[in-house]
Amino acid sequence: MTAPLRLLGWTLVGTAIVVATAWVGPSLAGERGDLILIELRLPRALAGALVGAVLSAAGAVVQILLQNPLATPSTVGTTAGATLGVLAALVLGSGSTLLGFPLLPAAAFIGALTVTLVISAVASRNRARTEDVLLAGIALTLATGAVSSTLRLGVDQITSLSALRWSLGSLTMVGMDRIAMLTPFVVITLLGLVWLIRPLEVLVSGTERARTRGVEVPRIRTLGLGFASLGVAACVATCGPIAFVGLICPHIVRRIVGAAPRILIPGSMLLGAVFLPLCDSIGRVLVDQREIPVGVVTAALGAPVLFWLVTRRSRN
Amino acid sequence: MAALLALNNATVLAGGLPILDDVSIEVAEGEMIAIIGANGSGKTTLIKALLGLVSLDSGTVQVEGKQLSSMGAKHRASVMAWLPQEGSTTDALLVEDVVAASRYRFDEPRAVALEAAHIALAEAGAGDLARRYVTELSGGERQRVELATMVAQQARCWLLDEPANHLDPVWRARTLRFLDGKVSEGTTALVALHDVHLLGHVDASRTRVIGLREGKIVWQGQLDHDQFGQGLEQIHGVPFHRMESAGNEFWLPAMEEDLS
Repeated sequence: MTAPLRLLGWTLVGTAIVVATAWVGPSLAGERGDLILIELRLPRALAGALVGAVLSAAGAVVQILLQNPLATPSTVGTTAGATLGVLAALVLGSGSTLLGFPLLPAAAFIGALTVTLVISAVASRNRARTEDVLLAGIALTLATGAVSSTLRLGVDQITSLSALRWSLGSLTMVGMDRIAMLTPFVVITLLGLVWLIRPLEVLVSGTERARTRGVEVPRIRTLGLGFASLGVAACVATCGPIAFVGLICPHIVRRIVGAAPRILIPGSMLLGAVFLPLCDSIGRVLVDQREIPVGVVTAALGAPVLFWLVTRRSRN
Repeated sequence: MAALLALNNATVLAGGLPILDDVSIEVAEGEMIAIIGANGSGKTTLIKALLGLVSLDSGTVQVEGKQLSSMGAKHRASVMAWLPQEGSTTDALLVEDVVAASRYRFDEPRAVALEAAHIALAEAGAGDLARRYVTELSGGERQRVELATMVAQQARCWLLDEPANHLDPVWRARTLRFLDGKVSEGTTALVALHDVHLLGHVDASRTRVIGLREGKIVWQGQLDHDQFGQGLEQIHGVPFHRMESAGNEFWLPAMEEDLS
């Protein structure tokens, strides 16, 4: 079977799983069952698929660009930057648009882009080691986290509580209106990342090698981090920060089908699109009568995976 | 006619100290140049300077008389191909993908790049490795794949940094002979070596040797120069004894007791 046919087959399987997750959770029996399914569960599953695809593909691309398997939009601070942007927008409570753009995605994008530019500057230095990039990401995550906390302190309890809930990362309140807002960003991000596959096929063998083989590395790095930031910012604005998807999914794909970007990136999109709705449905059934935010579920699954990766790397 | 590559009065500093100190070299089309010197003498920096991978603190790099910095990345890749000292990726990549990726500059469909990759692998004696993962290969197999990437890129000049490192004696010889064969077909080559005996596998009459010591060029001449022994002494700072066996020439550094 050819690669496009295989991809189509897996996409159909993935779609079936995503749709099936809508039935996981408290029973849909009763007169309002159909309403809950159509108005709440299916949009959640769809939003989870879109967000999961973006976070996972962005993780795969950032790992190649920074030459580090532990780099993701979360670990290099992009998510924290987007979070700070959204919190600032929530707390400052200005109008619903910023220079004509919807406020929350615009604020998230500005936050994500600011952090990404700093990280890119560190990564583009000639003698920058990948550890430097990750440490810079940790420093920026902590710094933006401190500012976010300070912003929360300066507001009333209700706003602070809603900011805290939002910061846990959840698909609960995502309806078709937010999906409509998210979709253009998702499409641009995914098309952009797919468009970069060809130079990434060279970059995966090393930055310096790629430069000597004709890749304009700074341009590709800027575009890659830019598309990843755009997508992550839109996802954070839609459902809050959701960690570890960009770490776990590309690693699973890499272990199954190898590290070639032409397979890794679409494969990561597909797995992320299935993984996040699955985690969301797990969050619905894990504790009786209560729902665990999907961001908590992915973190609970992702942290052990990160620990395993670090110990495996140190063994090697 | 301008040289294919020219490094003009290049200086590279690290921590205020020169690791390349006012070095000028010219590489003519079709020439074979061996850069020799002890560890840390500046061989890798010289190669990276020519490729534009390190910033010069002073000096310029020119390709056929034009500034390297004014050339696009794909144009550079058509002139220079690089075999670095460090091994290739540790990611699980198929050999054919790694080799096909070196044809990025051609903007061709994947099927065409793959076909060219298979031809290059066959030429480097690695045709049977195409569907293997690079992470599964031995040192010798990896080196064959590295050479195939150089072939596939079809650049006019090869810059190789210690291509025989970590190889057994047979593969060291094969690698240098392969390189010599490419030069005889018209490829320009600049190869950094710290083991001077590997030059026994290339045609001495067309090989120019440039000796580096502490970032400076301290000797240069043809490989079959009758003063080569003195050149080695200037490069390494100790006398060398010439020995001959079965028609081959060997150069051995003077032992500690000779030096005292």
